This record gives sequence, structure tokens and C-alpha cells, in this order.
Amino acid sequence: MSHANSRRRFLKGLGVGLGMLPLLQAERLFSQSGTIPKRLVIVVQTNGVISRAFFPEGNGEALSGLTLPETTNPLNPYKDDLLFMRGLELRNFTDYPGHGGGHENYSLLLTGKRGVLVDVGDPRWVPFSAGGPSVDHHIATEVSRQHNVPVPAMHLGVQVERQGGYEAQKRVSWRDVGQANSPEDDPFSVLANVFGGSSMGSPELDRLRRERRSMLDFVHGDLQRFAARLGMDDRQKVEAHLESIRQIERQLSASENVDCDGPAIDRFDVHDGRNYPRVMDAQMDLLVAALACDITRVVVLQVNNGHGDHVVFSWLGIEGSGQEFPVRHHHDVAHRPGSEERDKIRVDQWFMGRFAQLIERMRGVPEAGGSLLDHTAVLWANHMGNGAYHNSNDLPWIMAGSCGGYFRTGRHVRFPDRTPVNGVLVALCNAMGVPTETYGDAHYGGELTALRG
Amino acid sequence: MLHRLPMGALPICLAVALACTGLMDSRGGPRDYSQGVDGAGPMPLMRLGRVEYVNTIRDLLGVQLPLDAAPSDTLSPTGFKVPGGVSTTEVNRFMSSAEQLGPHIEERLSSLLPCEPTADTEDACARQGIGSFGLRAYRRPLTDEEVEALHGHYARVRADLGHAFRPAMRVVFQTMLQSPNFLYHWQLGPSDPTMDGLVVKLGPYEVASRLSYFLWRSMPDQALFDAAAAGALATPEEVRAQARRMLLDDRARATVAGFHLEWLHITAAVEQKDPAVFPAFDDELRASMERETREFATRVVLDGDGRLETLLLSPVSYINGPLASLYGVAGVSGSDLQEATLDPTQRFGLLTHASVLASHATSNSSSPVQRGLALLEHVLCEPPPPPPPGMELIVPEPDPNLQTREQYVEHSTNEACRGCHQLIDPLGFAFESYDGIGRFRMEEAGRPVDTTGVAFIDGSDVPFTNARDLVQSLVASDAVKRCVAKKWLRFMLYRLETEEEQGSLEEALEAFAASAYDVRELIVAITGTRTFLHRAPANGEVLP
Repeated sequence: MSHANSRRRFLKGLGVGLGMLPLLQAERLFSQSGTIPKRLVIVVQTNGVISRAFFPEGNGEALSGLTLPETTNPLNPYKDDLLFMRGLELRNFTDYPGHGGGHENYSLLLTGKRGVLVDVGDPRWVPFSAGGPSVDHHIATEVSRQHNVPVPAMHLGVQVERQGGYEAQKRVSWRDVGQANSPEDDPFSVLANVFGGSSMGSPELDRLRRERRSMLDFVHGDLQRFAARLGMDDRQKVEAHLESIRQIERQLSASENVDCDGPAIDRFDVHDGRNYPRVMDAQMDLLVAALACDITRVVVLQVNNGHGDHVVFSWLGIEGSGQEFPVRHHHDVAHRPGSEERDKIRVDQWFMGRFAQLIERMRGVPEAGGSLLDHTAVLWANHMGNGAYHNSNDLPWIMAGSCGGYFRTGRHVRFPDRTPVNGVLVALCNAMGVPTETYGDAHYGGELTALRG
Repeated sequence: MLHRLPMGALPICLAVALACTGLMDSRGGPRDYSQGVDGAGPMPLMRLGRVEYVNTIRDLLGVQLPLDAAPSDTLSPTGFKVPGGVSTTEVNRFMSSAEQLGPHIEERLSSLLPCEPTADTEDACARQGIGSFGLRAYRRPLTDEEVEALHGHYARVRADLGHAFRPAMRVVFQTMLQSPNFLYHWQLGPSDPTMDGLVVKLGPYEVASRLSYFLWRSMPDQALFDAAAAGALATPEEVRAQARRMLLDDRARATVAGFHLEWLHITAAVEQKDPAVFPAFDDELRASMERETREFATRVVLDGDGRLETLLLSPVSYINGPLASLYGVAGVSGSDLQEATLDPTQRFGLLTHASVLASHATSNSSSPVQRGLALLEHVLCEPPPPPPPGMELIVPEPDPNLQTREQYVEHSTNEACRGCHQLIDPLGFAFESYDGIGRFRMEEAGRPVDTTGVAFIDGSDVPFTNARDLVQSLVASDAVKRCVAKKWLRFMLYRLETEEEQGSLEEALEAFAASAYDVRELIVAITGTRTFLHRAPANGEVLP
């Protein structure tokens, strides 16, 4: 029995249990290059938090001596792996007043760059969008240039499309101006596209792969011919399409060498609002498996769009009567946090519980000298500070994992108020082995070195 | 809904208030957008939208795919949904949809081919099949080079994959479904555009597709392809004649219904109501509300007199049991819709449909602000600016002793809010005789509701005593007629109109007026306008 077959059987027996499988993967990685790859996960949440219940309480930098209040309390067991940051502001948004309220900054979260107006004509809307590539895209592009990674970056969503909205308010990853990386909301599509048709027999899978290669090859040429006739703006759109085809072609070749099945996920309706937690679980399972198998090194997970409309926390008993909005969804809870802000705190606490679960799963994947988490930087970001005010300062950003010892975790690092987030984005680049001086608009300065060991 | 200002934010709010009183140009800032030339606007490259993709596959292959076979659409400043860009997520979606269609294509391949191949004629038949399927899939004839390229693809699939004729043709057709020529609205193909002065005159196949995607949200039918081939889509008269024919086709019904749902933003908002306050609001009632509006709009526009006045004032509607009990009508039961004449003091057209009233309300009450905004934005095309950033939303909990209207007093007493809210709130107050799910009411909190107010219409103050009064003024106003014309134009363009297109708008508006505001005549007139039949060149486009 070949090594691959024995592992596949081993995995299927395990079900979702990811704990042991990547051990073998790590062995392979080790034998190939002698080093464990570094990975980046960015999780993006909306609607801010209640700051007093979020940031560590007490004096000093060491988290071990601080108390995590109610919202972040689920992270308590992982203090050593965490880096709380305080004082961060989305200056590439707030330095340009008149560009709309707290939802309009969503597309700018990871770009470090002033936004652009993308459309005109309706004074009610400030059609405002990313002014350049987001940091995940920059890192993914560079990392896949250096290493043979099947999927340069994975973009996952949790019912983002169900929440609807303008493109700029539901996209956070950008290839360039006007070219968003759309999140895939369907975990079963991720399973099929990224892990291949693991349910298929190999002759069938082989036929499918060969047909795909043939079709993509033709479409590739077709797009090039198609672009020739177009104007500049339109050619850019086709270029984005073409780049996506190239990426899937690469993925297709590389996937033949990927010796890894995805997690087993039972079928369920991924569009049903009540299944929101299940979709999030499945996407987290998938991203951990993809990282553990070294299918990708960069993942962006949007746990909602820039509004949070239509996400109703029925499993927390927070539902029923919205007032400002027809339903008591995430956005409504942000504006009406409830008596003593209890509802809002419970919602955010639930998100932090998901964060804790992600950390736990990554810690459960052993890799030489530690776990997957140790070789990853997980940034849990939010584009708002205070939920009710929708402001873009005092951002509740937390990092987990040291990214191979690059970051010194277990601390609460306090920066001066109005510190541009750019310094964090630069740090992520450098941690991932992508040497970078500044990211986005250069005048926001370089790396925030206080994050390092 | 009340916006309360944190300290220090007052100047911004006052600036906004000034914008609402017309003392400040609310536009401005940099514009990176072609305003068009010579009476036509730009036609940016766009892929098929979600409904368009599914409908096109239906008409091309006879398969009804679920909506999520295509990537979702995105809201646009027009208020209508438009498709977004293409990244790997979308490419994957189109690839798996094409693959899902594989078995179906192979099964009914004979009906997709103009020939029945024998061993000797497979090659020729493949070429013919590519040409005939290509004409429909790409919505234009393929060039010889394109047929050759696809035939080369067919030959490689046979040689490299060892496929027989049928599976090879299946792969070729699946490939074509992932081609930009299928996925994008670009029926010019690789040909040179024809110039007409400074603008590009659309070719016959471009006009055919513009017609079919405007009126059917799908590909052209055989009659349109024939007209295009015969050069019979060259004049505004010919195009308008086609539009008249197409409005009689069933495919136009879904478009007209869909337009009205999107125009008045009915879909997403009617999602959930507080069962403690509105126990009657169940899934069946919610679905019935949407069905009523679909049926009503389609019947009035396509079967009835088509007039705007009828849409906004007719007491006739299409209701079933759940709606009858909501509307207090006796003698209607069951789930099928039936025509009924309702109490004309309570129900008069679209704006008193439960779907509209429930969509623009909160989960446990009515909402004068949401209803006022909906009228300003969608019916008058005069959207106020959004509240300034940094404002804290204070939402009052319902108070059994207060009427909804009484909870919005701060909007008229607080100087900072009044600028905009004096335009928004009164329009909504008129509809205070309908609760959060659109049930008629005379009283709230034990006292008669106050539906009086003053609206600002066509530049003057128009006092009203109730919703009917207000709607009559709206129907008579120039602003509303112009707004409806703009909405249909935007629905066709998938974008906001430009300054250059004002001539086309005026032309359509004149035809609308000449027909006593028959929406059909408006739609038909739009298809004969300069901007329907032309486009501004794109920046950097290669022109002859």
C-alpha cells in the first residue's frame, strides 16, 4: 500500500479530527526544504466592539499579569500566544473626512492606502473603494513567487453574499483598484476546488482534471484575444479574469501533487441564516487543513461583510425586534447594544469564542518544534472601533501566533493614539519573509517594531 | 430612528442640513468617469448578472439552473443590482456550473447540432455545430478564425483526451460557456466598431442583445437573431417594433415584475418581523406580499392600461386568503391570487401594497423615516445625503403610550437634524395609517393617527391630509414621472445616466407624456433613443 493511500484511509477514518494528519505533511515539508513555512490568516469582523469589555485590564505589558474582560475572556487559555494591540487607527480613511461613515472604510482595511471614488452621480452614496492592493494579496503574490504553493491565497466568507450590499462594502481583499478577490461562501465549493474531488475515483478525477486543463487553456487564449479589442478600463477587468484563470491553472497542476484530503463535512444548507455558525466552523476546518497541508499560506476569512446585516444571533437568544433595521441583526445590535451593552458584549464574546476555537485547532496541528499556530500569524481585525459610533480609531486588533518566532506574543502593546495600522501591515509582510519598508501610503511610516521579539 | 450627535460634530451636521435645503452643491469632489459624448454614454464591459446567466442557460440549453449557479450580484448606485467583477471565486463558479451542465449537453447534443454525424462527417459536423451553437451562445455570428480556433480545440480534445465525438463536443460547448464571449455583454466580438460621428453605433447583434437583456434579462430569440441577420434592427422604428413584440412575450413578465421589486426595494427587507407584535406575519403572508406586487405590476403594465396613474392609484389588486385577512377583505380564501377591488380609501396601488409598507418598516413598528426615504430615493429620485459620520444612533424602544410619529419629534426640534428630516419624515407620516406589516389602522396608542403634513414636490410645499392625498400629488408631479423614466433608463443602462444622455431621457419622457404616462410607451421609447443605439468609445479603445 502506497504512502498516499494509507494516509487517505487514515484521514477518512479520522473524520474532522485534524489533530494527527498533518504530522505526515510536516514531515514532507521538513524533508523538502528543512524549514517550516510561515503562514498568515486574517479574519475580518465588522461593527466594532465595546472597548471597556475588550482590552486587557491592569498595568504592564505581560498578558500573564492582566485580566481579559468579558468579551475576550474566551481567549484566556491562550494568553501566551496572543498579542493585543491598542491605539491603532485606520488613518488612510480618517485622514480624508467626507468619505462617508464607518461602513465605507471596509474596503480600505488592509490596503494602507487612501481610497478612491469609483462611481458618481448619487449624492447619498459616497462610492468609495480600495485605492490599491490589500496586504494579503501583496504577501500571497510574493510568497508564491518564492515558493511553489498550489493556491497563493484563499478567500473565504461566512454568508457574505447573503448579507448583500455594495461591492466596496463586502470586499476586503483587493488585487488592485476595482479588482476585488471575492470570498467563497460555500465550504463545499472550497472542498471541491481546493482539495480536488476527493470523493471521486481516480480515473474519473483524472478525466476531470484533463478536461479542466484543456478548457482553461482554451479560455486563457480566448481572453487574450478578447482583450485586444477593448479600452483600457475594460482590459483591466479582463486582465483580472485572466489572472484568475492562470491561478486556477496553476492550482490544477499543483493539486496533483497535493496528497491531502479536506476535512469531512456533513452536507447542510450553507445559505440558511441559522447555519451561520456551521458555515464558520466549516470554513475554519478548511483553512486549517489547507494550511496544514501547505496548499496555501495566506487565508482571508470574512466572517461578515462591512455591515453585518442579516446575521441574527438566534443561538444567543438575541433576535426579534430590530428597531433601526427590520431585524435585530448584527448591525442593529451594534447601534442598540442593549441594557448595559450586554447584547453587544455577548455577540463579540461569541466571535472571540470562535477565535479561541481557531487557535485551539491550529495548536492541535503539531509541526516540528511546536504547532501550526507557532508558524502562523493570525490577525483578527475589525474595521471599526466602537460599535455604536462606527468610528475607525481604537481598533480592536488581536494577533495570535508568533509566525515562526517573529512576533513576541503574550503581550499587550500600547501604541500612541492614532497610530496608523500601516505599521502592523508592514510587520506582517516582514514576518512572512516579504521584505517591506512601508505598505500603502508611505507617509504612514514603517514597521511597528514593538511587535517583534 | 434618531441620530444624536456626539459633542463637536455639529458643524458637519449643519453642512448636511444646508445640502438638504439646496444651499450647497452636494456633489463635487473628483470624478473619474466618462460623461459620454455626442448624446451617448459609455458601455463599460460587464459580465452577465445572476438572473441573466440563469435565464440565458435556460434559453440556450433548456435547463433551469438554481440562482446560485452564478455568482451573486451587487448593489449599484442605480438602486438596481448589477454583476460584480471576476476573481477566482467567480471563475470556479462558472467552471462548476458548466461542468454540471455536461451530462445534459451530451444527452441532447443532437438538438444542439444542425447535423447528424457519421464516422466520415464528424469533423465537418463539429465545425457546423460550433458555428450554430456559437451564434446563440455568443449572441452573434462567429468569425472564421473563431470557428477554426474552436475546431482546433475540438481536435485536441479528441486527440489528447481520447474522447469520442459526443464527449468532445460536450467539452467544446462547456468551454464556450466559460468564454468571455459568452460571459460578457460584448456582442461586437473581435470586429471593428462602426462610428457615427463621435460615438460608436451598435451593430445589429449588439442591438438584439441590448433589447433582449433589457426586456427579458436573457439572450435574443430566433426572431431577433433573424432581424439582426437581415439588417432589420438599424432604425429606431425597427427597434421599437421589436420591443413592442417582445413586451408581449412571457419573458417580459418576469422582467417587469423584477423591475418593480428592485425599484421599490421590496426583496431583502421583508425578512423578519417580531412575532410578538405581528403574529400574522408568517412565511406564507410574506411570500404572498411579494406575489401580489409581482402580479399587480405585470397585470397593469403588460395586460392593463399600463399607466403610471393606475400603478399608483388603482384599488384593484391580486390577493389570496392571507392577504385578504390582512386587508380586511371578506370572501377570499386559499393561496391562489384572485383579482379583487379593495377599499379605495385604504388601498390604492403599489405604495399601499403590504410588500412596500412592510419592507420600509422596522420589525415591530412602522417607520416614517424609512418610508420617507424610500419615497425620496425611489419615487422622487431626490435622495438626501446620509447622516454625517460620528453620529450615534439612538433608537427609541417602542412605548405603548406614544404614537410612532411622536417618537420622531426631535427630528423637527433639533436644528441639526431638521434640515434633512423635514424633507424625509412628513412623507412617511402620511403612511402612519399602516402598521409595520401594512395593515390599515385608524388609531395607534388609543388615539387617531396623524397622517397630515407638508411635502416638498416640484419645488413647492404641498400640504396633505393623508396618504391618498399625498399619492395623488405625487402622481400629478413632474418629479415622479421623470423619476420613473430615469429608473427605467438606469435599469436598461445598468448605471446612472450621464449629462450627455439628457436628450435621450427627454425623448423617452416626451413619449411617456404623449401616451398619458403609459409605462409600455416609456419602455418602447427608451429602445429607440440615441443612447440605446450608440455608446461612447471607451478610453483607449482601438477605433477604425
